[in-house]
Amino acid sequence: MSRTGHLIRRLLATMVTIYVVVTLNFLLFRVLPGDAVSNLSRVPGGSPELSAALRRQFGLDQPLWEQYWIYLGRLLHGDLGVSFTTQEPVGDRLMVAFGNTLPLVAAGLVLALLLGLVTGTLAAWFRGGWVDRLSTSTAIAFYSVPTHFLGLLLILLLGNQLPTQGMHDEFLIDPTWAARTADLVRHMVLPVVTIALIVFGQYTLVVRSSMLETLGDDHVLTARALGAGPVRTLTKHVLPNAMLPITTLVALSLGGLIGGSILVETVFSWPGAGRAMYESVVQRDYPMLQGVFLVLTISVVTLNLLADLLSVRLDPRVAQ
Amino acid sequence: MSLLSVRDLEVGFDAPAGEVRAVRSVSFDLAPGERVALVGESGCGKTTTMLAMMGLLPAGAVVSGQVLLDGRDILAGGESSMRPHRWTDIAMVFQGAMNALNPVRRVGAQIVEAVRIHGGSRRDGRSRTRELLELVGLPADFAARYPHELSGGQRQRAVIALALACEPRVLLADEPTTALDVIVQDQIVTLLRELSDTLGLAVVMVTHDLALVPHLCERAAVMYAGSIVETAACADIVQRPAHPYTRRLVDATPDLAGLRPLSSIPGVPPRLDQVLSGCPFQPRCTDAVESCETTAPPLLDLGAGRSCACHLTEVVA
Amino acid sequence: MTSIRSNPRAAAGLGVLGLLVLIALSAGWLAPYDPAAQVGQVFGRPSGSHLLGLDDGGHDVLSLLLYGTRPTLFIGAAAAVVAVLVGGCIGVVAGYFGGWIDGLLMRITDYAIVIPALPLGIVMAAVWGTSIGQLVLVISLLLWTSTARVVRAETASLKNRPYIRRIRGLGASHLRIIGRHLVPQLAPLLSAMAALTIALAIFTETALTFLGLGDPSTVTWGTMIRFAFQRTAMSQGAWWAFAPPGIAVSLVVMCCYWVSQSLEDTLNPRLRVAHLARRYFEVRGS
Repeated sequence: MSRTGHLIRRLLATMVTIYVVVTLNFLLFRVLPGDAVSNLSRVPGGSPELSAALRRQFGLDQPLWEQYWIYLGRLLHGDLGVSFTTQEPVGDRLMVAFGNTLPLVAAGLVLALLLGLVTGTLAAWFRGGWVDRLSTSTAIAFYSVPTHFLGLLLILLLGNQLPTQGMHDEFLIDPTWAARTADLVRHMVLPVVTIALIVFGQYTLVVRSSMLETLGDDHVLTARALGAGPVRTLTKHVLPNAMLPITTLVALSLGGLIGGSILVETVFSWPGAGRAMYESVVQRDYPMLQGVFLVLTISVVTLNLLADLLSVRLDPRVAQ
Repeated sequence: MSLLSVRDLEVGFDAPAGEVRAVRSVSFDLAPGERVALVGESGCGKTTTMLAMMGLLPAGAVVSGQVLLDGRDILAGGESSMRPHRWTDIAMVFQGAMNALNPVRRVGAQIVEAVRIHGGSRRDGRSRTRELLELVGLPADFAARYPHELSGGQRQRAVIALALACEPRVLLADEPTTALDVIVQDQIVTLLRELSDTLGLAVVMVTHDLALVPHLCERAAVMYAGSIVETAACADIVQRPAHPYTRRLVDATPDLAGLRPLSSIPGVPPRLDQVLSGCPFQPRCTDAVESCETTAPPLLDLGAGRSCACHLTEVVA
Repeated sequence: MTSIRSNPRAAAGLGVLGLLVLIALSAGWLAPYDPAAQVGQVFGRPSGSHLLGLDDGGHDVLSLLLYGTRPTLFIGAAAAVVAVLVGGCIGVVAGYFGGWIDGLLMRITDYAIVIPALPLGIVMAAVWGTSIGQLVLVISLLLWTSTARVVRAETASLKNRPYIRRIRGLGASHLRIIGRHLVPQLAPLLSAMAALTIALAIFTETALTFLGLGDPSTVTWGTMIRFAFQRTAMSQGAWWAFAPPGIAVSLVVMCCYWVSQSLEDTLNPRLRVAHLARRYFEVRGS
């Protein structure tokens, strides 16, 4: 099968997945036991009137198929409903929130990858020695710590030196652009470090085993026999091949990364998508919750597709 | 003076059950353009000998003895004295050519890399790649292909092209035809012979298939349990084997046994992590006498380019 | 099993887990105070009478921690059992019967696997409710997928072993082949997955609870961290209110991970062979 064929197939599969997610999002909120509205109207001060209003607003008085078509129709127009708490369109709030989450998650991922690649490579290179034991135990230790707990620990340790809440210092007087950026970066440090520390452990273990596997490949022996030195062998013959399983795993870990960002944003009051999800849970802001879930899930699915395309690019054998 | 001589090569590995002495006092010479075969069952130390000659053994290996290239020992200085000779003087075609090429890089890029490591420019590399592919009978545009897009025989040709990238004088070919079908095996052996003739390339071929040997090599050395037990011209090895093990090996090879019934060799080779007293082949030898159990026979020069390590040599020959 | 004994990490992991089960069973007897009673000053420091200090309500943290072992381990174990059962059944059925059943079940698994677990759990718990039973259900629904995949692959390869084919040829029923011949072979794999799933389940419970989706009527390690965070333990510098449960969760997860790793290593002889092969060709730094 050709590469193009493979790409088209993956693209179709992704679209089907997104459709399934969209439908699941609909069903989760409507046909699961315990009608969501009756749960949601149990807020303090809830009343039969509120309940009835909610039902009308979500068209719950209509038959299920009707509701489904309305839902799909609205979604196609980018209409995710109106937030309960702020009365703003969910879509607009989500745009802002995701804009704030993206740099956090991206920086965390990059840092985690760097950490994972370095420690994993070192562990593989010095297999069986103390470097190996140290980096694998550190990896497993960080892998075992709950995200929010690590965040709290970092606040405890570094809270005096670095900001622990929000994205900006509200009390900066007339800040220059540079001062604002510096402030933003300072605010990013702790959340980004938390995300990176939480995920890098899995990367270390995968990089290590993938490197070990590749180090044993015959073509690595060929490279050495050609006269390639250790650095060249490692960078040209071992790492590129070892990157293949790593790409797949990074894609698989994206869901966990997104989950971690919800906890991290909650701990550090970062006004992103994860924090929005937490707030919508606390405030029972049902359209908002639905919107965040949908967009989060679709981004993970899409990122998975991108990772898949990347691995096709890296490995000429994939399409065969 | 011979081009390459191996003197008293010994290789040991540390293993949980004690040291494994994989190669035991192996010596042989190779003249320019000469083709020698190293024959034996799997596990007898053939591949280890080849890897030791290129300094490619794993970190735990203990190597002693000499590998003399133009009379200079290239083994003594370790990795740094070995590396400049790899590929420019001695190149190797590895066992299992299927995996000897990097699966995610194009064939041409791998040949260019070999040229560039040894000081050539990218342009030199490209033109050399075209020459080499032609030399091994592949279209020049195969340079742009990935290894998995080639058939087994084509891949083996590409591996040979890669081995010739820096115009080596010695080619070590480790089981160059395993996993190929018979017709392709023939083509590869013919190719190696032609290349050796036209380029004046000396070849050491490692194989477990005795039938293949006369098609390529002039001389053969038979290895058993880490030692060379017999060396002779190929014709002699096949028609008048001196060592009992060689005889059994000939009888076990379909294409060589002729009208005699095929027979396998009973028993298994000795474990190399144990001390061997006497002749290592003695437990499996039907002609063994008392002295075979107690003293190991030395490799005796029988004249006319033959040598054999057997107490019964005179009797047999 | 021999390798578990010869593997110090796995032994330590099993030991700690066993100890925790004992603690859970005897919490009422071990705990110095009633975990629900105010027995001292709010956020009181650790001292001789309160080894791990006091929390925001003046409760003894050590007693909370000991009592918290019960629901934490229960939710973890129960969710893991349900998840491995569901995943195992799907995996065995898909792997054994193959064909369209396999296609259908694995397609469903594929969809379930790409949906990020925590957001899905949040939504389900928010819509559904957060009693212990509901939490167990929600968590197990998040965690069955990897078991299903691994078990399916293993079953598909076992199914084609000559002796299973022979038994099939003899006319044994599907149920008998699965029950008598496949499941015993899958047992070590299933226990490795169960160990890993317990870790993930406790993790997920802690996370959901932290986000306000825990059972409000029970004290788990997760709720301890949540309350400490919510009720300003941080600004009071009262690290003792959240560090003990946090460390406890980390410890359990690490132990489960070690146990599951060593089970997996014994299961996969290929890995051990690969170690040898790697050593043989390992690149030597010069």
